[in-house]
Amino acid sequence: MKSFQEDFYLDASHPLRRLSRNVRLIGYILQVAFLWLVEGGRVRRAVLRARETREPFEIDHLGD
Amino acid sequence: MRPKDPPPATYPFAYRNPPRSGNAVNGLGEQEKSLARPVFHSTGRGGGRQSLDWAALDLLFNFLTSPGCFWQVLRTLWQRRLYVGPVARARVPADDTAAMAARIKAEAKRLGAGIAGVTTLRDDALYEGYPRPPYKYVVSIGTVMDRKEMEHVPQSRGAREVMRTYRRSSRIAIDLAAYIRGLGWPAQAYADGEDLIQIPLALAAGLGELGKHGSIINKEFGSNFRLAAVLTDLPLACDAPVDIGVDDLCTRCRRCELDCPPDAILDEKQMVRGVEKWYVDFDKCIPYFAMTEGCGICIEVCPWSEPGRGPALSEALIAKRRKENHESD
Repeated sequence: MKSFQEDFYLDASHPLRRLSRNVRLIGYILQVAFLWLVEGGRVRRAVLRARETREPFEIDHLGD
Repeated sequence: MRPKDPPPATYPFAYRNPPRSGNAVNGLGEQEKSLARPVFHSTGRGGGRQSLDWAALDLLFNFLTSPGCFWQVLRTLWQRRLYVGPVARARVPADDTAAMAARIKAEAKRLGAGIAGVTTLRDDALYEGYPRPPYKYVVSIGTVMDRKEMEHVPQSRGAREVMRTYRRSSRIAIDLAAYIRGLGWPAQAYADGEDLIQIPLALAAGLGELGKHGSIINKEFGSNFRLAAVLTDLPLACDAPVDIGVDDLCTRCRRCELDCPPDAILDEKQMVRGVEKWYVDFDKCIPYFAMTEGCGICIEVCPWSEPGRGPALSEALIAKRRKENHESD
């Protein structure tokens, strides 16, 4: 996921820029939440299976 | 308090092709001074988070976060919109930098910080290749954790308290930065994983000394607090690093070392990027850290973290050192 922080801290005094920034932050938070729920859920289930089968879950591909 | 039956350091996950050693990235063994290189919990600015060697394990750590912790993470993320803001047009003069520093530190404590100190922005707080924040002064703040909750590390309940404290410390930094901007000076909150290394700033600002477990030990609160910072151009008198006797304890005490399940805590100081200091084996610590939502065992078992013990302990250690130095003269 691309970092949003590089252009996040714009001139905060202009109301429209603040609005734009806040909207982008909401979008970023929703993206993080969705990723944690969906991809994170898959990974958590895989880790649980790995505990039972004793076959380690390979993490190299995470985030690809 | 020592945790009962912490999980063993065996993992249901693994790298098929392990990345470059995190210790090597951190500069363990390097004799020349240099800037820190990002390795974990960083935005990987420029190349993105995926450019970091341990990005996959960092992502796993985030995925294994429990719902209660994750909720705190989201709330803290939402607070980031407040890290910067408009600066008041009328500027309060800061000719008396000592009085102004005292005023700012008092405000930090009024907002909820347990400890606060001032230093200048230092190179050892920066990552190689990252832009330098455009501020000169740093107000380093420590927010105390609820000890009763921290007794539950390395379980989720302890991790929730850590994340809750990061959210609180972020809020304190936000409000303090807003206060300074209200005085007519630019200021920005730096908390919650912003790409600034907090520990060197806190050490320089006199919040405590570096302990064997790689965290700061404060005279009053031990290791039971979390850091954040406010960067500003407001001229402030700086505090100095403190000597509270941490090395006198850590060179003799092995509590954290013995209680660390992955045996990541080293008994002697190491050379790291040209500085000899206490260092925790990254390659051993971080997989356990990822599996247990941030572990925290070393902080919890540190004798200095026991409430009320710190000041007397510090005085006793320093008195003993003076006596031993006097006897050897």
